[in-house]
Amino acid sequence: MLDRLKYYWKTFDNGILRENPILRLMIGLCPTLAVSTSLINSVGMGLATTFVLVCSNFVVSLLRKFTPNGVRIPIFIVIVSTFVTLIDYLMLAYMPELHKSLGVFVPLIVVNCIILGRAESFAYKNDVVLSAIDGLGMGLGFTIAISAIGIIREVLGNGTILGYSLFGASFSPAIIMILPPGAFITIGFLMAGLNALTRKGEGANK
Amino acid sequence: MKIIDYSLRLLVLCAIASGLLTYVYESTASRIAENVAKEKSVKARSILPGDTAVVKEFKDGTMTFFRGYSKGGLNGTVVEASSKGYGGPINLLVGIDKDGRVIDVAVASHKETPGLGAKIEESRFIGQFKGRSAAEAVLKKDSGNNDGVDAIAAATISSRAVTKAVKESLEIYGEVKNVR
Repeated sequence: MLDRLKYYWKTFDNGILRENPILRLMIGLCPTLAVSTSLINSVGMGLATTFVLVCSNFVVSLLRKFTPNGVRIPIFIVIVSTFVTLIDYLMLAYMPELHKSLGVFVPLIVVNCIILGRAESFAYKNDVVLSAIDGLGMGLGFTIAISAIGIIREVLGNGTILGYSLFGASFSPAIIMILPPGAFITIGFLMAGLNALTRKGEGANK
Repeated sequence: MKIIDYSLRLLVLCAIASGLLTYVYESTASRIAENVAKEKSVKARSILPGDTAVVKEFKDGTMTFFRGYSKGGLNGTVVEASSKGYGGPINLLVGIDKDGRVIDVAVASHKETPGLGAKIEESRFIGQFKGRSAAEAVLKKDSGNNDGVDAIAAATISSRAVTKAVKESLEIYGEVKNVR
């Protein structure tokens, strides 16, 4: 029982640090570049992605016996796009307020390859519970990384945090940080920082 | 025979998926339309002057517009206009006063890039249209002099689309202002 719980935890925290989707696996970069221009956008995108990731991992894992190897990719795509469209309709109908703030991100989730990537490399090979946990871990790892990028880009590129001005009117922000190159620069520095940190950790273990 | 097995499985899954989508679409469609209509009249109210007491919906052919009334009578008309943005159609509600000048503009819906074109919703951009006539609804970078609206950095296509829709709304106003 304890071993099982440990294994669940390992699966969960795998996505947060060891295999962080953005900073380690370098997947899902397209929506990351587009959305991480402010903290609030990043958090919204992160949570919406986490939700879809948990659901799609769950269903892909549930249907893994039904899914033949030869057509698994089309089947994954049907599952993911059905989910995203359903969520879009349901949010529009029952949570119009939430849809107002998250609605623009929902279509972007379809093209987020983290979801297809986890379906292919994890959910297709593991049981339902483990797959849902992997979805949660990967989703939170994505949320943390994209939020870190969002904070840096919003502060440097817009001079604000969560919309509040930080430096007063005389501050002229570096527009490049809001543009896609700013995201690449930020991701590069974060990646280097994470690598430096974890390498030190490995050294201490020896 | 593999191909037949594959095709059948895909067919079954797609049938279930489309059945599910049809069901959810059908059962949410009227609620969604209701929400959109409600939001529209709330938005229309929000861009009319503060003393507006009643907002009424009017129809002229396929066009829908709103008129706001205060104690003193008609105090503004809200017209819908849309144009093609960077990611899809941009739909605006434009409040217009008796002289054909913009009272305020609200973005009803858009599909612009979050963080870039989506900034058309911010008052820093959209507020610049206040008080402008059709001739003055132009981007600074397109006007040739210093009189226009500042475009959003890195979102010229979105900025231009909004400007075009505002101009169009003022022209629509010319057509509907005498409708009873």
